[in-house]
Amino acid sequence: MRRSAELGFAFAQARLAAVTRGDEWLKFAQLAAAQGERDGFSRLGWCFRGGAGCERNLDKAIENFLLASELGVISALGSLGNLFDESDPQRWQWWSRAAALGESFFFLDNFSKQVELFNSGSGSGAVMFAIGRSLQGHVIEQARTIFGSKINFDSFISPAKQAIAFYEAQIKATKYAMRAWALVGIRFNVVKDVRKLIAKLIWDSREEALYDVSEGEEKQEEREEQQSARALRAEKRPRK
Amino acid sequence: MNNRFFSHQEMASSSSHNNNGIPLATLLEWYKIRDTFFGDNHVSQNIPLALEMASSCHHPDARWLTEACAGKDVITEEDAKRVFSAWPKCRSRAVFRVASWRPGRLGSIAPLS
Repeated sequence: MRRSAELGFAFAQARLAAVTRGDEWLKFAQLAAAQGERDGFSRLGWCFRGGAGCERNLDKAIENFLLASELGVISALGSLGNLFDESDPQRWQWWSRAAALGESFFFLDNFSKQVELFNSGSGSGAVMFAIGRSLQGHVIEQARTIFGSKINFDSFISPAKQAIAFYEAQIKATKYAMRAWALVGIRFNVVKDVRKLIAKLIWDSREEALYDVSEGEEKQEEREEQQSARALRAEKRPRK
Repeated sequence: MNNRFFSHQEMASSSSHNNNGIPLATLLEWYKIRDTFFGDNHVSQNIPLALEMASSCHHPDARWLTEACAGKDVITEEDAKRVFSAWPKCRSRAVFRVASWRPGRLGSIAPLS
């Protein structure tokens, strides 16, 4: 292996970087990365993240993990997520991408705690939104799997459903807000481009989980009741 | 932390890769073959499938792999190791000889001849 690496075979260099330490780790990771070897980028990311044989440098760690992930290294997606605080939605976006490709450990091991925090009032709506969005389509109740994993399904299913419900409610609430804005915009003759721009801003803010979901639902129910009452009145009215 | 890389999950440009001028599509195709061959990166190991895929890939390592295994019955890791050990041109690609090796299992690496 070592001779293969020293003869310049990039794959061997990357593999050797995985089992060496300090300066050697950095040296072989750099050699592999210089040849464009995807595992070399990943190992180099780890060097910069931990300061192995070099100064700790999170920007360089990110850069190398990104290159590795672009070339398909699934663990690099998890490593990128690890660089963010658990209250940062980006952590969950990277972890969910890793989970969707088979590396679900980080996501599954941590998401229920965030749901719990949110329920207790100290969590983040944006994180809850990111978790819900990530889980959508990856919870298969019939097969009892989340991201293809059966592990701890019984304890994960309830927080998973809560997060998905929150995500869906936020999307719904955002759509209500957009519709309401469209009506106001038309009523006050706001230029079409401005209307579109503001509608886009509302849509983009959905990830910040700004909307009061319960209020939106109540108003929607109220609207539906009014509509049915109108429909009933119309039905009772004698036809000419 | 500097988050400039992460706006909209932006990915680094593929043009920053230096892989001796190999097109990105060919490179990705090769990585898929390699993952299938070694059972790495959350891909199930399937050596015959990897060899079949390699036969139509233009990456130099895929061509080498195809040439090394041509006409031999390579189904398992043991078969692959036997073939690579006997292959005269395999020194720089000797890593293929240790197909069963995974990071952390250094003891299982066979010494080069």
